[in-house]
Amino acid sequence: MSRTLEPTVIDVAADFTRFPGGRYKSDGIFSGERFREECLVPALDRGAKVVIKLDGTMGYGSSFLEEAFGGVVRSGRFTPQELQDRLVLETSDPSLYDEIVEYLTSAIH
Amino acid sequence: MLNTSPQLSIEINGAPPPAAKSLDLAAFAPAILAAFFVGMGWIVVERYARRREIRSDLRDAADLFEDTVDDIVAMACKFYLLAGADPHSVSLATSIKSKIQALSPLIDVLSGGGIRVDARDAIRLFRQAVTGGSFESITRGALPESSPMFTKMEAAGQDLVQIVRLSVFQTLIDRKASKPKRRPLRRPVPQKDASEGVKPASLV
Repeated sequence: MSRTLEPTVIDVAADFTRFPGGRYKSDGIFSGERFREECLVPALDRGAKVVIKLDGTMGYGSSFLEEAFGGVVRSGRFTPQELQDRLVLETSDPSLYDEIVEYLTSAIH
Repeated sequence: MLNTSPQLSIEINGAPPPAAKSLDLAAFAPAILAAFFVGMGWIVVERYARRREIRSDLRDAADLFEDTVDDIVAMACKFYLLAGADPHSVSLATSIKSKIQALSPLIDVLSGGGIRVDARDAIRLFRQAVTGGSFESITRGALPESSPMFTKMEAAGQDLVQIVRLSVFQTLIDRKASKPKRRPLRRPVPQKDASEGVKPASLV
């Protein structure tokens, strides 16, 4: 009998930083690249859904978001469809949600 | 204990009290009428004042939104005129991101006031214009004043402000238009064949 895995929850403000910024690791210690490699990809590797709580930070730059989420698509380890199915974005800012979805789907079009 | 007041004794005897005898409603009519008109006038004035206050609050919220966008563009211009490694650019970057994050709650405030604003696309495009590309990259060089980046950010900011301004005006106009109209004196007589041969706009 198969068991549904518990979703992995990443609260960016609590589990990563309140000050995410920069694209590459060379740009700062809380860059999009580091978030992708240390939080996002390991969570996706566990195989369950990944809930990402985006509220509570001091704001996101598009460079951070593009590197974190677009970078996962570019890595080729997960298909855009798989990412859309497994990632659950929680945010009070609808424009932030749209932007991340745009980075996730850009590889499809 | 017995009440022995003179008034009580009058009532007991079945005679009307002296005051009731001289009560003349017609004498009070002008005063009642005046009080009625004062009351009605007060209601009308209060209603208009409240409406003006709501309109003014909505315009204030739209002004605050515009000021925030202008601040962001001004800070972003300063930011891109500095090199990425400049210590001042780090604090500017944090302020820019924080202010951009405040835009959606401001839209929520307008929506709470009944303004139908759909600015999520415009906010996304604005954020991408300001904080995309090499934003916060340490290796980024200072941009020259002639860089098209500044025009791009300014244009995205103006688009966003325009959307909000237009939404505010549109809602205020709609509210004026939806005021209850006076009933026509005569009901219009329907024309017998007026609608024949006319198709709905979507089918034309």
